[in-house]
Amino acid sequence: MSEILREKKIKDIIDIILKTGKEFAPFVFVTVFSIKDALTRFGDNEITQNVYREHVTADIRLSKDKKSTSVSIDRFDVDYLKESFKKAIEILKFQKPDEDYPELPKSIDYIKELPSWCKSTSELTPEKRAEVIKNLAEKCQEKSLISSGIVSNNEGIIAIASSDGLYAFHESSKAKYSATVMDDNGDSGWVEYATNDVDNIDFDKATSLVINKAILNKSPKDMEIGEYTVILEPQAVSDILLFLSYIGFSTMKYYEGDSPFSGKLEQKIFSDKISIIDNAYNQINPGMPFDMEGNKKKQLEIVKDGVFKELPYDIKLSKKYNKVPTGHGFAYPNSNGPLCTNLQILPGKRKMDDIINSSDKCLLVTHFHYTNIINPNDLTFTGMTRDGIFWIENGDISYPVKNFRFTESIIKALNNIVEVSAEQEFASGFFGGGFICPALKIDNFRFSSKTDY
Amino acid sequence: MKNLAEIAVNKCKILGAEYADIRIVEMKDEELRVKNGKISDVTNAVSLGYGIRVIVDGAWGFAASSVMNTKDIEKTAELAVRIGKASSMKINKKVKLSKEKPYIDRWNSPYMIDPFKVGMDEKLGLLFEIDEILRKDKKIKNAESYMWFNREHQWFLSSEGSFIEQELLRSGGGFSVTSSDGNTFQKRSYPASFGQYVQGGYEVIYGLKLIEGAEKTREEAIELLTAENCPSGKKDLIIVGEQLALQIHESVGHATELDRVLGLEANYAGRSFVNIEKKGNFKYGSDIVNIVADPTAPTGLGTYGYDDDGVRAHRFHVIKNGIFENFLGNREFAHEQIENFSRACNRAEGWINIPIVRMPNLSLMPGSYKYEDLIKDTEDGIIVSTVKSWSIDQYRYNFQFGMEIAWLIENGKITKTVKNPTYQGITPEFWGSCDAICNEDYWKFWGVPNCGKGQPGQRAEMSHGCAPARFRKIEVGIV
Repeated sequence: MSEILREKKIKDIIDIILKTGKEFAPFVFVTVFSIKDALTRFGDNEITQNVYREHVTADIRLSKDKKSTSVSIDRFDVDYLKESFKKAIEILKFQKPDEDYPELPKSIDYIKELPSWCKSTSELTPEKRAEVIKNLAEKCQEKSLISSGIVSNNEGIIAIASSDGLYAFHESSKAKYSATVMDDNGDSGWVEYATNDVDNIDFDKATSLVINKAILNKSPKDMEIGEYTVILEPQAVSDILLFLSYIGFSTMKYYEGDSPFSGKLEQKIFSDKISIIDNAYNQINPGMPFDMEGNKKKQLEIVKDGVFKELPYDIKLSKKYNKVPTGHGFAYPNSNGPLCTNLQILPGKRKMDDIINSSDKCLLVTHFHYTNIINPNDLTFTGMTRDGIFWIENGDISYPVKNFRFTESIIKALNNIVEVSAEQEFASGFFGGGFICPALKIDNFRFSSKTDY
Repeated sequence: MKNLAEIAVNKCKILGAEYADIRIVEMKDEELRVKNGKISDVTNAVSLGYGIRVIVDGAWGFAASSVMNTKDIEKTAELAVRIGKASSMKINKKVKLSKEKPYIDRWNSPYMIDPFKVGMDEKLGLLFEIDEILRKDKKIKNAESYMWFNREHQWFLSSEGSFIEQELLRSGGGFSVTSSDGNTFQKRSYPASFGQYVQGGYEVIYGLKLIEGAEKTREEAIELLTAENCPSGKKDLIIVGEQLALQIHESVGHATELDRVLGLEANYAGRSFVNIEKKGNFKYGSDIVNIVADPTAPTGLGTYGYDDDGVRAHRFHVIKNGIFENFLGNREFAHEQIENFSRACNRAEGWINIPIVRMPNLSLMPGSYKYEDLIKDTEDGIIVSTVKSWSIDQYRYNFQFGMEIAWLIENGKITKTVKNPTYQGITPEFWGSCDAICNEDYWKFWGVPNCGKGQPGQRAEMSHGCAPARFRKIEVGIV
């Protein structure tokens, strides 16, 4: 289906919803989500699951006299809409007018030409996904290794519209290749690439990388817990940005006093080697050019040279604190406030190879597993290392090490930065999200317990 | 629904599927939230669709859609078969399902009051009343109270002759407060960290005694601001409530799922330290540790008549007198644990997901202690309560948990409240150190409404029953 046809189909749904909704309330706001999602999963060197899913759903908000109610549905015939709206507006009787009710924009001028959707990704077939897996699995079988992972491709549409004339449409695609290779002892390597354009993934190179890493990680040595200098690869850094995004850089938490950075704007919070921006317009992983309130997304300089510079604002908080909306809002009402979803730690100047070659007595970490915040007051988080942690001595990777549990404050870690790599990549967090991250070399990173695996 | 389901399955058979089933599911959710004196969220969500699952040339295919007409159902069936054929390009062995009896049946959650028929005035009135109590002190910076109701109506039809209709009703709620003195902040929640949920109707809300718990919860949040930090070192650990439920969930439930054990989750969630050879002989815990999977237990979130393979639910031991007995399995993996029947643990979230191995209700059976006697019997201990943070490794072996609150026990008496408690351990050593479990008077189901697993990620619900239990010489206070 062409882009024009895809958009027309969504517009038709929006038109029915707005027209029907206006019979029940003077203001109607609709967000339509459309997904087509295909994923082939493999384990033990064979395909174990293979799914395709499609779904179009709409979140609809009806508002009257600064009161509102919402419904989420996936059927769009007029009778069903009327039945749903009739029930939904009952709640307005029990509401008081919300003095913070946001006045949404009536139009939006946003950048439409982002390279977010790629034809090649949408055309990745189940047969092509199976070929990628077959190639990896057969190579692993030749070497008595075991592979598992996914090859996936999806397409998503988000369109917002209001009865006041607001309309914005954004289409994206994502392809992902994630593979774990291990031997019979469970000594493993891992690789993951996620990109809007599947042609950006060099499957052969990725396959070689993950097999080589698994071989490099054979027979890891036991090491004592304690504080070490570490080099975190981008995938491990991504977990740090995830917690910063919804705790540290949460505007709502900043003003409510439960962010560790409350009251610290214009203060130094991290090493001066750390600069963090929020940029939906980056070329590595373009985000959405508008937010769920209908504001154009702005690029923000959250941390510059270690100094906390600015926060995202939605309509409600910008009005309350005399700021301008930055296009980071979510659908009203939401209890989390605006958040940064396109964070990026700006790269340094030294290449990763240089950083490793100039390092002595430190640990190289592939990625983390099951990270979680223990103490939000100082952003202490914990998790396990996974799929390769290596001891570096005199600039060389000397030997693999058994996995550790770490327990460390993100604030302390980002104040102990030694190096930031020049390379950067889009990396997913363990519990979701995804950010553009360089590798980070950090002093005194604390490992608190060991494991047998 | 049955006609549409038959069209799908017949189409798959014509196209060469060796096995086919369809799950048509209608999900209805209502969520209400009040935060700091205002309605912060009201969600009414309804979703109807179907997922078609096939085995073609010995391999799985699955396609799901919400377009409910004959033409699109046939198109989706064709796609499921095509995907199955693509899967067969790289399989090492053909999928073999355990032989199970086909059922034609209907099952539903028992309930007294339909929550979707209770007026908004009553629901919101209760939440506002709680909110008012919670915000009576200026040190409370944030108060949020909530309710959630879910009705899941499923129709399952298979090429083996099963047609099963099930209707599950889930209800629950809770609240939390955050206190701050300007420098630090602390959180307390009631009845559990993310609320308490069970199968049932609006009567569940009455049973939660939300108003009765509000004042104490607020005062504990304020008390924590000036409390000492949890000390570091080894102590006898008494775990109460939902924290023990989470311990069961993470270190027994996920560890004994057969798909993990077989390496099929290795890329994301991980594998398990429990392997096939450990069945029937591995010492998982002390002799008093009995853990039972029971999808037939009344009110559990993981209670059902049939799993999403169409297998009738039944109760079985996972750990008996400390010994590991059985994995959580499904039709596909039954033969892997040398059994010729399924353990009925295959479930999917909604219509859009493929069924995967999920734990049903999984509970630690009660012991003999009275809670008061357990405290008296503890010399140097700590009681921990309410989930705050959880992390466990990719083998379900090394774990670390943080809780909202703890109380020190010195010479058989509770002496003080401490904040930021944590503990860590190694799964079999930890369960091996369990030397006391309270009796059935203290035993309760705790609901987990949002357990994530799989790729694509999907959610499942289950409950864990437990009574307070003691674990000797556990490392606490890791910060």
